[in-house]
Amino acid sequence: MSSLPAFVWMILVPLLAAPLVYLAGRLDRRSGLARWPYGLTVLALAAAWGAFVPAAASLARGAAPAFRLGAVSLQLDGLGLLLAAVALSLGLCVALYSGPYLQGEPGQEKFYALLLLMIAMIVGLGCATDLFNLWVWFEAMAVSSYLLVAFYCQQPASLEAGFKYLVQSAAGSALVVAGIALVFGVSGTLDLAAIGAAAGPTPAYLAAGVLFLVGFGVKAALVPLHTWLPDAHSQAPSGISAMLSGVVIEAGLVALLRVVGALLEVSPSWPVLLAGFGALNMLAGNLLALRQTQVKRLLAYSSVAHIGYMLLGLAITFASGEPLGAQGSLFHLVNHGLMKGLAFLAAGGLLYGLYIAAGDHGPLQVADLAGASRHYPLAALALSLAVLGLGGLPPLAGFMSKWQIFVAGFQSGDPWLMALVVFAAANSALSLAYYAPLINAMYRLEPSARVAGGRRLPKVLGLPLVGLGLAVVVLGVWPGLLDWLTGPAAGAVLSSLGGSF
Amino acid sequence: MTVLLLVALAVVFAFLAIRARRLITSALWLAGVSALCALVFSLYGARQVAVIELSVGAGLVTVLFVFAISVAGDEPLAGRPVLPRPLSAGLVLLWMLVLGGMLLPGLPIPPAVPPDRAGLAEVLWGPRGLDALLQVVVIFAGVLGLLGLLAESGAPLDGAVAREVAAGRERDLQALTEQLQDGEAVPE
Amino acid sequence: MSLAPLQIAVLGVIGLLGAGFYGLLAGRNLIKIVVALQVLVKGALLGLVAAGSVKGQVALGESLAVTVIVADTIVAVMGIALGVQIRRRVGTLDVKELSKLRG
Repeated sequence: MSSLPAFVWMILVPLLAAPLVYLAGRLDRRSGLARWPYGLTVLALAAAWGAFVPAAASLARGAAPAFRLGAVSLQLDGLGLLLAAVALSLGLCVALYSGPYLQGEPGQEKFYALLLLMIAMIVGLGCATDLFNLWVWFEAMAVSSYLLVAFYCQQPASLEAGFKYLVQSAAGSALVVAGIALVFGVSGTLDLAAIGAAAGPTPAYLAAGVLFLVGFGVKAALVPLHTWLPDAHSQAPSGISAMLSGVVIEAGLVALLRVVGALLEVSPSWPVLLAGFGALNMLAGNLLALRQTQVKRLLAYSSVAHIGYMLLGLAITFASGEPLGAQGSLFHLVNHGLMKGLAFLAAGGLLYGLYIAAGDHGPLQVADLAGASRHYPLAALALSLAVLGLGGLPPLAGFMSKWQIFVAGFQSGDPWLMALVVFAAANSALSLAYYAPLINAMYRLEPSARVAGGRRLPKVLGLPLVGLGLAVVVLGVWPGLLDWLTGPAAGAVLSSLGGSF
Repeated sequence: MTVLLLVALAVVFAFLAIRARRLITSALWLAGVSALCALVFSLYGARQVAVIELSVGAGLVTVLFVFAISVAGDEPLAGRPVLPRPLSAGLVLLWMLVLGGMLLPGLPIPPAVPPDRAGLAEVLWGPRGLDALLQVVVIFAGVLGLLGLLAESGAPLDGAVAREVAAGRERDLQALTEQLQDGEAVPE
Repeated sequence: MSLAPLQIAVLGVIGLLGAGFYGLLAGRNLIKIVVALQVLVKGALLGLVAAGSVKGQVALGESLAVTVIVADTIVAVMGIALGVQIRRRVGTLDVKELSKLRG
């Protein structure tokens, strides 16, 4: 077993820890605190970081670590490493956060076990090189997230959100299987690289491409397929909202990217499709977010818009063959994970103080935030930082990655892409119209009765907020700090486009 | 030709399962679809998967459906669906025509390839071992999910929402009784 | 007109996927929606098995199909459990009534 490459341990550690966490929770039921599952989860994720470091180092040395079992191999490349970095860092924050947040809830051992499984599946999904295996990771990730979404299974609203999520995600997954069947029936192989070599512009591959676009598009929240997202993201416990928005939809995007990379030769219009969905996602996400009165629903719709920016950056690379667009897009993926994670965790902190600690499962309204900065200075500051970053204000992380995408668009010289970049910038400005009222309410209004009567936040709850908040600021000031991660990831995207340039 | 007939029948059964008014009928038609699919699988040479489909798809899943229906009740829902029926039918037909139009004419008729001699178990635990291991993960995650969802705690019918539904039922029932009484009153 | 096995399978897959999607769009009952999901999956399974048979890799096709059966049975069971739980907590299986209550 010692011969396993380090990146496999990133998958194995959380995977093997999951049953232990569950068992520990069953043995330690009486306390209602779930100390053991909580501690073990945090420990397992920290240990997974221990595997991340050598994996990243070996990749940086130019090695291509791979693991083969039978005919199916897993291979770590820049894109997989980037997804693992986002999943593990957000996962650790969410695990740390959920201890106090879920205190007293029944079934916490299942929550932590499923959280670990979901993280392991996301890391594995990033390393898959086999089309069908990719689907299996994807499906396992989905199955482990269903209960997490419907975790408050006494609440009708979260049951409904869970059902909606399950149905749409399962329907998408059936389409993906149909697409796999088509590709398999025509090419006779399931290896993504071999499919890439065999695929040509025939109707069968084209139809498979459409099936994949729709199937994975459900998870990645491409616009007409996003309807599950606002319910699932707002009804889940806040830590899970952060995971769903920050990693899971991005995992859908990475899966889509892998498949599109293999089927690149099939159609010349992939860049147009990506750019089209990008524009649609930005517009629809922002317009719908404008109308929301619940904080978590607003943040959920803003995720739809941010997927649009990522798609735009990828479209630039697909159209021009320059890595800058993809690098900006993947940088934005990391930043969005951090910022949206921070936003959901901070909003969750306020939700906890104002509602959950009092046993109320009502939604956090924008109006409830009035004067929150007086009683909850840390959560209010974190939420403000997060939404300012999401809105793309200069010295914060979100600005840097958006800027990179915009620069890439202008450098491409393509008038359509330049027009789209202008459109994206306008959208970014539009998004401030719904972020600003949040900050205004928290800092300028007098405390509402609800805020005045709110409970204090546990100290541990603030820890991930501080960590993520610092990351958002530091990455904004020194965006080059992540080049070691985003550069190879963009290289991996580019090499999947390899044949055509 | 047998294959074509069976496949066509499976599609018809699927449609009947969707159209059925009562849930129990729907579940039985679905079992029929599953059984027909199993037959088709075995005609394609996939004997072992046919057996599994028959026992899991037609057997286990049907039992679960019947069990769920007996717990949740089988009341036909009156009224219109969320999306108007012709619109859904039109959308689906359009989608089917596009996909069929794309696939059927250009589909190469592959030369008959002699079937391989490998068995399902050899492939599943050999070359596709990673899939098999991940199945275990899926099952574990599914069991945890079920345990969480079916945990017995709290009052079964919760608060305002349930009361609202119950009140709605009451109103509908009252309206229905009044209608019936009116209807009876006329002939007299 | 005689149809090759692959074409029959394609027709079948399209038919089953179509029926399933119609069920998802037009269905009002939560349990019925899970039935529609199962129909969709049957379509995808038929495709996998037929693809394996056409390419002379029956066992590979079977192996993929078994994985899909296991995963989607789990999903169906979870869907049914969610439906039953919604019936217990909310008192209805009607999609329309659920969305009405959310406002």
